[in-house]
Amino acid sequence: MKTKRYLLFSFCISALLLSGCNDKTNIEDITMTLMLGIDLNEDNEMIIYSSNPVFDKEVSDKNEEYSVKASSLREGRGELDSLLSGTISKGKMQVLLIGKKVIQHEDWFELLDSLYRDSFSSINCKVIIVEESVADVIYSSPSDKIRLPLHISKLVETGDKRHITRETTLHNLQSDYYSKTKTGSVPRITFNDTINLSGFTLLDHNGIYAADINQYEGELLQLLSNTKLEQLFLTTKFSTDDTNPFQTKLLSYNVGDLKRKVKVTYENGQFVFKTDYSLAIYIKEALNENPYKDREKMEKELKEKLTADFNKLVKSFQDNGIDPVGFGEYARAFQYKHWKKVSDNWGDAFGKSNITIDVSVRIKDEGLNMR
Amino acid sequence: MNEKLTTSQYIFLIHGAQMGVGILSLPRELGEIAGSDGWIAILIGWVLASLTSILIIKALERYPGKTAEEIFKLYFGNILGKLVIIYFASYLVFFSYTLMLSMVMLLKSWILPGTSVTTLLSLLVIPTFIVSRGKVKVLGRYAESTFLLTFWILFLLYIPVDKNDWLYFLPFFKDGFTPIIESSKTTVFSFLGFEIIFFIYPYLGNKKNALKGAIAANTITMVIYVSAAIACYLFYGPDTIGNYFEPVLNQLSNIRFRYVERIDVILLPVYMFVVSTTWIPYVYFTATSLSHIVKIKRCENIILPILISFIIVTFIMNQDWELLNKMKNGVTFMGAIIYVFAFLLYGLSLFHSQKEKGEQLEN
Repeated sequence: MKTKRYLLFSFCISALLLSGCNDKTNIEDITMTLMLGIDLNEDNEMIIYSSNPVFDKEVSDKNEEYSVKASSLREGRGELDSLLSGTISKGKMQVLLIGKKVIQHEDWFELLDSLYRDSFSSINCKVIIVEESVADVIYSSPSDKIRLPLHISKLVETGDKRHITRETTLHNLQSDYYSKTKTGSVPRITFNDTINLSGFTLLDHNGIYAADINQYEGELLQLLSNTKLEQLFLTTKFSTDDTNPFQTKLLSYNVGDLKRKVKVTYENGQFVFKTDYSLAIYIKEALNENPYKDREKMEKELKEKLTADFNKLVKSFQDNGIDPVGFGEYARAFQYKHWKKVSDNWGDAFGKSNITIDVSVRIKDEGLNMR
Repeated sequence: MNEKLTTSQYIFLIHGAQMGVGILSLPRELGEIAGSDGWIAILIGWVLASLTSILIIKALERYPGKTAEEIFKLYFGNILGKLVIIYFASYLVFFSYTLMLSMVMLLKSWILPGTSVTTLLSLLVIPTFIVSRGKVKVLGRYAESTFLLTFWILFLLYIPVDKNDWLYFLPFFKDGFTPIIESSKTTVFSFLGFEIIFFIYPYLGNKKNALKGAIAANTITMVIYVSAAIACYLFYGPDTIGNYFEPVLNQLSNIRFRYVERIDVILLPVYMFVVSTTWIPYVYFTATSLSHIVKIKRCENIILPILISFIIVTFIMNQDWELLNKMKNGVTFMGAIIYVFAFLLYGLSLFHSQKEKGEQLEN
């Protein structure tokens, strides 16, 4: 009897307290920001864009877009609140677009502070660099596509599966920014009537814009770093004929497996990296080539071509003083004492280091054709 | 005294008392001082905690039928013994209150920013009261079932770790042993909770298993701490781990399923059960300790006043994280004394047994 009385008593008390959750919000009163954009205008003033879905049947446009001038995201949100009928919720944010102009300025990363500090914001939001103006992307609402933020989000997600791009979340961006062994790389989109994934934008050790690489180089970058491979298709052209487009000799293949070995030593005041990449490839297309008969020749040619491409890419990284691959992680793990001296600016030290790349290619499968 | 604990209940009571909110920030605290070698410091803490647990059991072994309070009186005499009991009572009550408050503050800053601390704490008080008045047997069952229902959270920590960045851990002992020793100061206190052995040992049914059980409990805690620290390290890496107060929670917020966008919002309240296995027994044992000082027939009658005083204190006090940190430091300091006390008690028990032997020889 006594227990029941206690139970009843405590139940009544807790029922009284339920109204204490006074920060509940009705779904009708929320404006969900699915996509946020940051850009600078011609006068170097910061503009914040937000794209929110509209669920009302009376409205023909699926999205509403707004832009305000502000000096921080949070201030911008206050401004946006005065334009929007619902209260803004950042928790469902899918995409953060950053204009290329923004990342060319020092300390731009500070801007994102509120996204990390606020427990209600979504850390899984994808970060994308926009080549030209963010406004063009945000205000384009293609009628043949699903809601734009979701479209961009899907584009990156599926692109990540095919290694056309690599999904970079706010967390990845922050990790790379603070990392002393690696510099950041962020997917980049260009806008030309349609939104187009076009490789990566590389950042230096301060998070400032360093260089752009195209889609093919982006795929090579993912091969160089230890990205877990799902489906990575490459096409290598051996020769082209100017007069007849069908005379092109090329191979298209799927990189099924990649083993990488990195050895790092320290000699004569510089880091020496000896890397060994062995690729197992599955041929999907061979134009004017016969990988069955000339297997060894093909493997050799592919090896030369890939080695040259890898070397060119790494050389360009070194010239820019950046290390998006993360060779620095090996330097720290195996040459800690020497690395520690240069840990303030690893990119610079990486630029001065000596790196040799060895590629070995094995054709595992030629497909069904004998010729 | 006719209530008996099974060995597994005994193990999970000790383990439950050790798991608090500390684990949420432990990887950062270790990372700040020892970098990726921090997990080694956990092993040092584990060794010391296991050793102290063994000493406590050895000291209690001489009087198997008596409760902790009675044993203190036997060892130290009536007046000094009462002082020890008062110390334990104040430690337990302070520990449990600090823990409840920090859990509530976490809930507030992560999930319910608009709800007042007092309201949340009052809600926690109700189940605390119901469980703790069930005495030791119920506490044991509660600790055991809580462990079985919640240990899977640990595996979730490994979901976002998809890259194999084991390189972060190399080289071992990168800056020598000094930072590891330094950070073991933190880890030693994350094992606090073993002092519950003082109070539950008398209830253990099979006393032969007491040593094994205590070591098993410490080991379970150690394994959980180490795997959480390693998961956090793999995910954040040595350079980012210092960014967040509770990296473990932040890591959980990175998990994304098709059907749940923010899993941390679900897991933090679930984790509250794990934390509650510390404060609920502590509230109960505060009551039993107090009943030896204030003359009261049933110690359960003090539980409600204690809990209500928690609510009142929360209502009056102006809490923020800084105050909470001060309180945590206070708890840690009091816990440090318990480490010393355990060694002292063991020495005293040796002395007593020597004296007894001498008396027997004289006769």
